[in-house]
Amino acid sequence: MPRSLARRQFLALGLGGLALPTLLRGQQRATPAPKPVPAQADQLYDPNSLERRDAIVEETDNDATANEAEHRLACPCPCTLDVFTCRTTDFTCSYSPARHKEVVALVEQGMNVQQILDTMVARYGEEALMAPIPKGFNLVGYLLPASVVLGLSAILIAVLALRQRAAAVAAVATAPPGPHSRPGEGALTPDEIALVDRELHELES
Amino acid sequence: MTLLGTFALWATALIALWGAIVAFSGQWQTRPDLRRSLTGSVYAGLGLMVTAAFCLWQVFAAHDFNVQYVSAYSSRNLPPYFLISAFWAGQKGSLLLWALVLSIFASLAQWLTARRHADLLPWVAGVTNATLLFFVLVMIVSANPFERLAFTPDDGNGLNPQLQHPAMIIHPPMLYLGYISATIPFAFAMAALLSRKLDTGWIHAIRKWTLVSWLFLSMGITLGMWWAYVELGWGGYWGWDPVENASFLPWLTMTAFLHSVMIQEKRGMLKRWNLTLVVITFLLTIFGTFLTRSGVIASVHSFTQSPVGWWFLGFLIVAGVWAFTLLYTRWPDLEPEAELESMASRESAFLFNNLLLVGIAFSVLWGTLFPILSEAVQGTKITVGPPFFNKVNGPLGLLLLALTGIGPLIAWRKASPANIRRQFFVPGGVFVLTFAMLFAAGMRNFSVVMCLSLAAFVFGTVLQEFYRGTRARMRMYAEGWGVALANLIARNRRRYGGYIVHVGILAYFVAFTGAAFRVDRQVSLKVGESAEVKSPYGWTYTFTHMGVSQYTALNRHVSAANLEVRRDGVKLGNLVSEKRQHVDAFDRPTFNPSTEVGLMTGLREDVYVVFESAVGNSEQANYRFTINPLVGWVWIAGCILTLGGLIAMWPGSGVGPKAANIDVGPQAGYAATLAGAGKS
Repeated sequence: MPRSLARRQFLALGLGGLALPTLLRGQQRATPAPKPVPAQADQLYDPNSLERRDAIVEETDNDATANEAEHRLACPCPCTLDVFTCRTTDFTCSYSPARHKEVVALVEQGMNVQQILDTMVARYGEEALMAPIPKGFNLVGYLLPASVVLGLSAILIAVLALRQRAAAVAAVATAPPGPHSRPGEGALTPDEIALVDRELHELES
Repeated sequence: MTLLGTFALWATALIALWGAIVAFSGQWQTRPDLRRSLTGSVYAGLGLMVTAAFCLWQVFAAHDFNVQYVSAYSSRNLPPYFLISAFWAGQKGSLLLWALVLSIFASLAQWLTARRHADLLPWVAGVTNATLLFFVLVMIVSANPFERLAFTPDDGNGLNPQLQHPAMIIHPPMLYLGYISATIPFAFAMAALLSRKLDTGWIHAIRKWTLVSWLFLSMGITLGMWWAYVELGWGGYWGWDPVENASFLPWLTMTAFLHSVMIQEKRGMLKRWNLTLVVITFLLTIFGTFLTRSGVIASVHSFTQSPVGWWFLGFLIVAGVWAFTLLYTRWPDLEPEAELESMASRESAFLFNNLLLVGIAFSVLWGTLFPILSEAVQGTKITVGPPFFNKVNGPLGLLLLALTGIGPLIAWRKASPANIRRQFFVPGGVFVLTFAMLFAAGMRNFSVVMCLSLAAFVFGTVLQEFYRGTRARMRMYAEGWGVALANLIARNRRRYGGYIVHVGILAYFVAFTGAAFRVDRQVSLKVGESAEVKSPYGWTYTFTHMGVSQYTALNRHVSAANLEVRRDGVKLGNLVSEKRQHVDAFDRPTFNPSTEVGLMTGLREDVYVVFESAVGNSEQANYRFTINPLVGWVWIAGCILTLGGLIAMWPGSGVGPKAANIDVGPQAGYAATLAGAGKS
């Protein structure tokens, strides 16, 4: 009896063992989605659907010197943003957090913004900056637009002044003598006469 | 559908080729049938482009993922309204949109001015057909949106999450409308040069079309700024990115043209300059497309590097050489009819205004291309970002703002000292008063103080113009304030619409100064914890983290971080910033998680919250809080500018150049005219 029971138990175990993978597979199919169940309050229901960081924000992340420097440092990723903007916007970028750590370390060494920028340029070259250093050929970049505008303005002013002078000389040469040409004697001043002439001419045209 | 779409592209190419050949051969001048055929080719191009566009939308709607473009930019679970914007999400579709819009404008040019500019329209058709041919050929050879894959994916890649925003449905078409409609003034300019009909008629047509382009471009740029602000999460709206610069460049030259064209209309001067501006504007629209599609400049907006960009460079060179050669050969026909008489005149102010606008355009172009130049000359790579552009363009922008106020105060031809004193007294006083008040209030940022003072000066100018004009109408016609003001605007829409545009521009400048006072703070908060941020206005904002809720929407898993916001202890409401993981119909992630900002907007400042990340698996959240002063004024400025532009371009406002000269309404800088006109 005990022997036969043992046999039955063995058989049952064997059948159960064979059926187990099928049963488990069926159970997996029936499960709607492999969502993790929160272990306790304050835990995310689905942590995999958003960015997670182990690090929490610290006060050094708000350091004014670091932030000012980071606004003037370019992120090496293809985002074309500065380090501060990239690390607080593009949360998939691994470069800007790394650069941020370097900047914070430099701030902790007591460096000011310019010293931080100089150090970063020494490490990574001028490409590390958001704007070229205003020296050498880069000065052309900074000064040319304003120089072009100023130069053309100077030319324009000179041309206008010459024309104005030529027009004044021509007006004096062709002005007929008469009461209106002497201010104070006529009813209208020369300016007023010129104004009326212009307006009449414009109305006629 | 793809077969029909491809057929439509080929048919358009052949018809546009026919149209261009007929137009430039000049045979239509003696054969009316060819002339009719030319007009017909433009309308046929429109019909075929509409067919092609319909086919592309149809394959999007049918989720035909065997079509490479559909597979690349949509998915089964993409909300239907974003299937509209998926059309122009990639290079191929945007080229089709370009060709579609071009064919619409080309047809409108033929239809709206069929009688008025009958002599010019065949040439106009030639230019638009040649441009359309170029775009269609680019699609056929390099970027066919109907290209099929060798296999059919079970789902598409989906639309980039940042493009899944309502602004993306309207911003690109607006920008394209602005860009592409610049072809029509260019076509009219070329038509006038080709036909040697260089009287005032063509300039009138060009002015109207340029105003249309300018308005669309202004709206497109502002909508782009809005999208960047609310969607990208960096807290700004303009980053001097090459693509932004590419849209700004033609806007600047168009603005210059809209001012200098007035001198041509009133005095018959600057004809050569105006034609040059029209040509440069068109070339800049093509140049911008080359920049963004060739990969020569790194840009966050850039389409992938492709040979398409080099097609555009080729077209740019051909169009530029042709246009400037034509201009050179007609140079003697473009003699000015008058000469500048005085430095103190509206003409001179407009000249300096043009100089500054073109100078700023040069500066922006120079900065955009400087990395290439620097690498070629120095062999080192450099980045030219906002600090460079702000430093170089800031002073030029302030000068331009000053001229915005000065120009309308000076009389045409020559302003007398008395006239200048009278005109400048009030606005000048407003400027000095504002400057003193800001200084007394402790503001020491010179650029900001100057900008705000100049904005006040421009506003004073505009108010003075409206006040004087309204008062004159009240006296002359015994009208009430409201009626007089309405009639003043209605009787000279172009001029007063222009002043409203000036108010829009100064509102932009005021809004830009807010960036100098922006406050950022990053914090990490557990549920129930609070953080404080001090606003530039002295208020204290308290943000309390309420927790992170997670749920699934149509095509994304959403993690929404909720904050309670208080200002000086008074509850303002709750803000939600989200992380979105977009998925396809089979729940497979399609892109990296994206961020939706939480935004509380106001006239004085915006509260801008970004949920950066969760800490570990907990609901503890890393946030960035930004207090952004005056940003709301950018959108208000856009609305004011649009309103002014609409008033200025509203049909019926144009009374013709001569009529405009004898308008008895009160004129800026025309105090003497008013008196004379009143007596006569």
